[in-house]
Amino acid sequence: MTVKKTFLQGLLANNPVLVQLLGMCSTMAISTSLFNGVGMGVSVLIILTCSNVVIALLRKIIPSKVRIACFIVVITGFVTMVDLILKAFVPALSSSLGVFIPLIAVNCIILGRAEAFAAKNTVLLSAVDGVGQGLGYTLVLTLISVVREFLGNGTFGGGILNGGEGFRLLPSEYPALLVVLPFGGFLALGSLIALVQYIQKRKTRNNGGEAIAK
Amino acid sequence: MDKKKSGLFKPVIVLGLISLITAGALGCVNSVTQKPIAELTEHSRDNAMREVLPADSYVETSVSGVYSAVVGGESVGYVVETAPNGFGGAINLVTGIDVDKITVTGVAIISMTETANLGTNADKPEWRAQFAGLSQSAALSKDGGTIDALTGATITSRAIVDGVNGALRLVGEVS
Repeated sequence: MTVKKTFLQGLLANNPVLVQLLGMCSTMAISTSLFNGVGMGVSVLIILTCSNVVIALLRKIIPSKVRIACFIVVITGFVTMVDLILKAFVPALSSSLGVFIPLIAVNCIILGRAEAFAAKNTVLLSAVDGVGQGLGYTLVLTLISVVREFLGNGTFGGGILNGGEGFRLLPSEYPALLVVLPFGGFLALGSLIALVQYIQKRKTRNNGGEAIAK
Repeated sequence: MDKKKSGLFKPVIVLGLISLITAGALGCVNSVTQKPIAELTEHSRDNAMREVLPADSYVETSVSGVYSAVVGGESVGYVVETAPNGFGGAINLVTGIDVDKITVTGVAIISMTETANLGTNADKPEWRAQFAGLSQSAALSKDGGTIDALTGATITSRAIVDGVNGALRLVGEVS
């Protein structure tokens, strides 16, 4: 039960981007094509799960005075490993995400989960939390990427499908470059947060209504 | 007294140990990935050089970063590596220059960290083709030249123009 709950928390109810509003910088900067969105999401998922597991393992050994320093050492270790592995084996993704892979080290989602969850919970729960939160992040990035790529570039799946060109859905004179800029990122993110809040509020209101009717 | 000591030393030892283990793990990963990364860099550099000025081999000249393109023992031109600063850091590019030292044969980008879908569009062949055939120096159309900028901000475009002009200058130094 708690495993399932922990996992689902990350997807929607306690989504890192939509509810905790963490990791804004990377969300704005790289969610411009499907390839970038999914690649960044999966990288964060792997790093978050690994760092959560290690920090949960060490949670009883780490003195609270130096815990942040210890967390950062563990996190940057994993970030650098992922960066090196991507550079060696997935160079296309590495050159496309550029500096944002090393910057995962200071992504507040990772440190936030280490401090708020992994430092207080078992290894199993922390791993589940890492996967759930990572998937939640990936989901949001993918969604924003698809919208921004469509409106700003007129394509779908740029960088990965159709030989890297993506499928053109809009003729190239229509897309608004503005959407690819951070401005468009904030617009897309704001709309998505509003939508999710609306759906959740309606759900609780409906549930409340039923309870009263009963 | 004893308590104070342990209160001071335990954090240091734990943090030190964690750092040590992390460093060890990074060393292992690095030893595995070092070779593929070096090969990939070499490969993309080689590809870029071949794209701007095809030749049998590239021989380093007296000026660092300038290579002489050799076909059948004779120099057919120069390939110059420059790294102008763009929006997100250095843009590593190669410029092919004809044996007359003033005509650009082509420009190719080895690596860059520009804004995705904006600055990175500089790698599109259509855009880079504007540089081929230029002589003396390059300039953006905004500055009275012939190169159309990628965006209104012209940061990436200007950086590449600077890189090409730098390459032309360097070639001039080759005796």
